[in-house]
Amino acid sequence: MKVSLVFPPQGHFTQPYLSLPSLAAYLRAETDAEVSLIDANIESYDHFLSRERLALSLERVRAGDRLRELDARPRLSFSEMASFQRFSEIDLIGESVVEGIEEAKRVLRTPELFYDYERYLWAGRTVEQGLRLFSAEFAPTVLSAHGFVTRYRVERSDEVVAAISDEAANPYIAYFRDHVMPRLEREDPDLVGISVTFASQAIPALTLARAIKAWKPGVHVTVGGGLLAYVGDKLARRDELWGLIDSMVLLEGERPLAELTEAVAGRRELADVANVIFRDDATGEVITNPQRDPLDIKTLPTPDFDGMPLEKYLSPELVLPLAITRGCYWGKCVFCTLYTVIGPGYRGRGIEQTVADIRALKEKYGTRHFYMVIEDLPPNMAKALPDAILEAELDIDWWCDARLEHEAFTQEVCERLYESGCRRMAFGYESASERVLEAMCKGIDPQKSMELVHRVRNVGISVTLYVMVGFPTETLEEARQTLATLMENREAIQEVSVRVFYLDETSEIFRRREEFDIAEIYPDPEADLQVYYDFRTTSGMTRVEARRAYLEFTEALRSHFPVFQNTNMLYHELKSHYFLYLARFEGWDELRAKVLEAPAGGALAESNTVRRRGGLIRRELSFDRSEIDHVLGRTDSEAVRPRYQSDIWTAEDLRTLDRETEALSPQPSTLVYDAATGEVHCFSPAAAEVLERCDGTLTPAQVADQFPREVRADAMECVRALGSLGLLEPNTEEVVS
Amino acid sequence: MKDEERKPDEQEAEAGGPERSGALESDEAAARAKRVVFKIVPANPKNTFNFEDVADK
Repeated sequence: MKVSLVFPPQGHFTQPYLSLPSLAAYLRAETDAEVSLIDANIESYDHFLSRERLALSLERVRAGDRLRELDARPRLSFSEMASFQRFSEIDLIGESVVEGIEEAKRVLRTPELFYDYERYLWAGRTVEQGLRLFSAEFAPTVLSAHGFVTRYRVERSDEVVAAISDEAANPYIAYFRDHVMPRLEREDPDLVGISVTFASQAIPALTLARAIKAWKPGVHVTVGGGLLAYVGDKLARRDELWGLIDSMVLLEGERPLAELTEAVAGRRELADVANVIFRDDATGEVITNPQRDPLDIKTLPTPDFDGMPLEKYLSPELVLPLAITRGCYWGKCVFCTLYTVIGPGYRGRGIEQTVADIRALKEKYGTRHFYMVIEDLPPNMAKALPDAILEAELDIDWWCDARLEHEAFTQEVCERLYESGCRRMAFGYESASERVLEAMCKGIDPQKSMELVHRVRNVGISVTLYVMVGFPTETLEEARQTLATLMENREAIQEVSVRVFYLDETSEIFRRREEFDIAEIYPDPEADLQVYYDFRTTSGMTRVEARRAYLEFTEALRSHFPVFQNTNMLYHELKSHYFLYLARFEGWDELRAKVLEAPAGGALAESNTVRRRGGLIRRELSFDRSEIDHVLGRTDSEAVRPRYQSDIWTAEDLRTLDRETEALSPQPSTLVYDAATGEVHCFSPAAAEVLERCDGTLTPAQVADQFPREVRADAMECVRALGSLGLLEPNTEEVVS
Repeated sequence: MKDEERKPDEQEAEAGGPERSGALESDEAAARAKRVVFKIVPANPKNTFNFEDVADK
């Protein structure tokens, strides 16, 4: 019996996910199956972000010469502005990104380069730019570090089915055909298990299933994972699906998958495999098998990462995920769905086993960095785990989520957590309003929670708070109270993960929505896979007001929190990077002082002549790109859309926006790309002229003198700004006295 | 720097300005200054990450 387990795109690219290693460990221990693992997510990122593939994208994107055509227009509509933004960037940076992409990946994978912050920022930008270049080939599809969205909506099965055969919009059709299928054909599995955790994986997962069935219809294809707990039963009603897959596994996959191997081998009936949905070939009937209690996780083997492409993740050191509990010991928050779709039930792995897991993984894979994939660190483990880690001399760094348990996380417990290598803790804070927290059934007190935040912070652990805006009945004043509290305590809080509340049909609040003044929900009649609903309440903020409050939050966070400021990408690039930097600098204070707020290079000596740095690439445009960015960004920010759905504008949205947005008249601007940093800036004509005049023959004051007297002070400021952006260098050969 | 190397308007400024209508010149200068904008802004599309996207994975 050969089993191939696949993690399809799209998840993040900084570390492996736990699903395949957990399943593989169980299958290898409990069955005679020969198991191979394919992380098609990281493999596809690695391929798309290759010199050869990006060169092809550049050639294809440039083929239409669309920028020249747009640049010559008398005006640009909204949708033309979106195209202009895309093509103008690619025109400017395309070659440099193609040339630099392999080095950028090398920087992210090499410790001595990754921890050089300037190199890291360049690499991060180059990867992002590479993904934009690649995406442009499939526009309006967007593949980023955080998501994969196409014009097809994942909450409509009709559109999902259409997406899996649209090669112009779906880059994974060709990728699977050319890269994954040859491998699967060689392995020739009897059973393929596709793990789907995120909505962004839905279209790629079914695209792969289709390719497998086209190759060999007899292979049993099963799909499982977190997403199925939400949409599995809905998906099962869709006839076309059963031509692509043979079964679906709901909830935890270890035992169902082991039993599926027996069923595929003919030693068990499919009807006897718990937690599985399948279609009876004889009758065509879709059968949902009963669910069985989940396994005691103490009986599970240590996750087995053998076969994962561990060298390909875009991090310099491996961060391994490890689940020391499953489920949530609290399990009462009315907005949460995880306790109904993970497990169900809360189970702990036990301290001894956790220590043994860590030791085994550390020895086998040579890493000392761990992400504990848990909903919340239970109080008993918060006390016992640090002692056990220290006693066993594991010498690791780790992070996890936890509840704000004021009584459990005492000063002593927090100190031991830090000593044991805990460098980051993420807590569900949600709101500073006692009333809102009570309505949520969070079971925490906002003041005591903030005391605990300070306690955790003071021992050296980086604090992340999850915050929610727009919980039904929440007023604008209450939301602003939360923001004000965050700002007042910002020295104690390193990161805030803020999101607008969305109404999920598997949550308690959906079932009891009248109690939360939700008067109406708005189902999309075509969305048969819909999970999140737009709604109207009779009290508190409207959805639009909640969105605006959210924007107030994000603006304040970007302005006042060092992690979110400027072009910092540690948070942007997801879990591992920020954590690895914290581990490297042994906590937030050193990271902040030595990296995030390290003094920039000295100001330009104004007695020297100055010249443009080498490696600047300029492109003059007939339209003001900064204005285009502003219009597009504003429109995007103000849109109220459940995140589960694609945040790409539909054709209908674009027609409306084209009608309602004032067309843009020409106003010249110049784009400047700095190949050394990867940064792109938009210059007004006067600023571009200042840059032009910095040719190494004039001092800053002499450059300013080239401009009319009334604007000389501004011109001088502009030279200084160019200096602080690192775009100028002193021409030390020619000093003017 | 010698006087002859300097721009005429600089010399005029130090000498108290030319014999012209001060108000008119100041209006023109203000209008010219308004038209000349030295603006440099980052131009990465969506260069600021979306907090919600990041939280999901």
